[in-house]
Amino acid sequence: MPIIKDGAIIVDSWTMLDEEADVPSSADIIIPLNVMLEKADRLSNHSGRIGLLIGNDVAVEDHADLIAKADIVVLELPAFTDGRAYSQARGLREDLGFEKELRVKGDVLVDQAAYLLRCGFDSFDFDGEFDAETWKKSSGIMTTGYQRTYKDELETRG
Amino acid sequence: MYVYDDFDEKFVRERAAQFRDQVERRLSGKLSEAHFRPLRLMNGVYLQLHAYMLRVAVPYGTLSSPQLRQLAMIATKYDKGYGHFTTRQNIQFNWPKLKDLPDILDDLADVGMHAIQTSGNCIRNVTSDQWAGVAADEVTDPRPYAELMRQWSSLHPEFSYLPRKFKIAITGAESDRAAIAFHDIGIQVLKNDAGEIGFAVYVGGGLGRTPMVGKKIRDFISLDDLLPYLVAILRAYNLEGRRDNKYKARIKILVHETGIDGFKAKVEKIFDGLEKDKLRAPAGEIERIQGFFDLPNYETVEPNPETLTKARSENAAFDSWVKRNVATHKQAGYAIANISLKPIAGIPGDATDEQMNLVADLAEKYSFGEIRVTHEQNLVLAHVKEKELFELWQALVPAGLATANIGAITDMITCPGLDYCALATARSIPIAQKISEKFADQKRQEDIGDLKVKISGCINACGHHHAGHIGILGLDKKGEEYYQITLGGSGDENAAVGEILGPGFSGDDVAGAIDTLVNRYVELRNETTETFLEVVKRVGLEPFKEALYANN
Ligand code: HEM
Ligand code: SF4
Repeated sequence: MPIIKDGAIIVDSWTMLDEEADVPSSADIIIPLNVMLEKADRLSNHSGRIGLLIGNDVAVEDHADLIAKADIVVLELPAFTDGRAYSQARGLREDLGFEKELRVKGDVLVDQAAYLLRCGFDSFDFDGEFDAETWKKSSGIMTTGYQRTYKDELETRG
Repeated sequence: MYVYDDFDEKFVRERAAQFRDQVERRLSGKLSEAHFRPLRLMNGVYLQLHAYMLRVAVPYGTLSSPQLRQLAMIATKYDKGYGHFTTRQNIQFNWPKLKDLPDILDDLADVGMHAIQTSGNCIRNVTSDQWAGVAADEVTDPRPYAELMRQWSSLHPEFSYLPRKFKIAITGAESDRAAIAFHDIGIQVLKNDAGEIGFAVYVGGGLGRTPMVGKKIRDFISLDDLLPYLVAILRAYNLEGRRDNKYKARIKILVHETGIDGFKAKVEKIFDGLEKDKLRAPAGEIERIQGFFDLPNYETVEPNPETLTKARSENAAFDSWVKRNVATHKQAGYAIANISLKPIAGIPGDATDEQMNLVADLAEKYSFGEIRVTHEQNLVLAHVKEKELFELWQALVPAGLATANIGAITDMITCPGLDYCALATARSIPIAQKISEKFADQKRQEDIGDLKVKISGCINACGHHHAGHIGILGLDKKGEEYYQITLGGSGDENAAVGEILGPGFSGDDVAGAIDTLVNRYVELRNETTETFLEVVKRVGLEPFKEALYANN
């Protein structure tokens, strides 16, 4: 599954671990929030970077401290019609002031890329195939927007 | 009325281009129907029984003459010569082709219109009082705030994939002509003791299969905080609204399940944590928008002129029309003229291209070039000089637009039903036509007085049957259409959901059943001024049940 950033496939050092996986003592890892909650002590001397995978049913403001320490946060898009991650992202960016990388993982449609970027995501972990040309053309058609958001590259009024 | 500036224009042009790109990818097979579906819905494109349907937004129901002419042009060029005005103040075209849709959107953009969010699980067209700005009973014109919300909600990056559709209505008057209690969010504009504008906010109303009356979540939110407060409500809903069951996904269910106090606590917590500055309207924006809603330049004219009284006394049909269709204006010497789209035995809410062109011309001649669409599927010319009412009426008569029945029993709200709709369980239009024929007699209609009959072709309640004084719901029993009748619903400031009377009726018998109910009402009322709802309240359902079912 490709990781997309700035409209292109990138390779990065993150390894995504699921709940059952053993947590290595080094390497850049992304772990589910509840693993972090359980193993926070042991992870305090982890030598690599640590990111958090946060489920859609988590109220991000309840975990502000952990999130502030994370090097990346990954939110989920279980179906492209499920918009919870958009609200979580805005909460993270605008209300909690999270500044590190924010990634969305799942059923991303090119037609949603612009909305996701405006809500504060930087990168996409894609379920489907990535077609760079369509992505470039289709995701950039709207250059205007009425709302002012965290990372808004669109033209707004006023 | 509001006129697009360069920014709005660029925005809708880009949106039209974006949809053109999506249609091209669909037609070339790059986009699957499953992926295309929510995208087309967000642009008002439904797949119906026979064809695609396009729903065009008429924000808060206000149109200019050039806009209405463009809608007529679209009806001529891409449809079968007519359009259908809806209960959400929009217009639908029933026969466009998918390949033509991008061109239609460009044509709409030419006159500052679009189809953005007229469908789909997003914030829908914001609706308002059709008499906004001219009603004698209003605190202030709600349309500047409606326009602010239209802009704020358009292609909202956070709220375009909600659990379900989301409808907002706003009124500035005591009498609620916008049915705010039956919306996901209902807003009433208020002025506090210091003369500042603010808003009472209601949440969790709706019709559909689980009708609910909205509950108050805030007594008074300031103008500055309106948009941040809406963000808080929508965020609470977006995060916690049910996504497991489409029929339980509306905010009304969340509010019901958490209770209004629990829900309010969630909203207030989110609201307190919001970085509000960016969420507010940009500085000066409200004032900029308000500038478009200044009252037109009324002339000083004599109220109730002799020409009017004379024409009324000489022409009974005109007199009936004035009585039923003309309402009081706040400016002396002017009147609000309602144009009924409910001709006897016609299709409720339909207008032909010729009728649209005529109304556009008449609006320019008599009403500052502005037209309103009502949620009861009629049109309004909001600023007509009383002395010109007779001329206006004479122009409406030959076009079949002078039916004198606003608010009367033949002014029914009717959904498209099985004639068009893929979800329907029964037809609605033919039922409306039969009832209309039964009550065609003008004298009888006038004697009956105000009576709201509303018809839906399935449980989704697009025809607002729950809110009808008499509601009719079309269902299906083993392949046979039958109709359930409810009594006592109301969509105004005394909002109530109607109660089912008893076993349903076949399509042939509905009009007769309504006749029986109305006759019973006329017998029961104490004076001709006692309304249908007052009688139902006073005597209950029993006498009506008895009248309907005694012989079976
Ligand atoms: C012809 C195609 C149509 C389809 C497929 C359709 C579909 C639906 C569905 C599924 C609902 C229920 C949604 C829910 O409760 O979650 C609904 C509600 C509604 N529709 Fe339609 N509809 C159509 C046409 C119309 C028309 C023509 C009007 C206006 C005359 C309209 C106005 C409404 C309103 C006002 C509601 C209900 C109120 C509420 O939001 O709770 N619809 N529609
Ligand atoms: S009420 Fe039912 S039949 Fe009527 S338009 Fe809505 S979905 Fe279709």
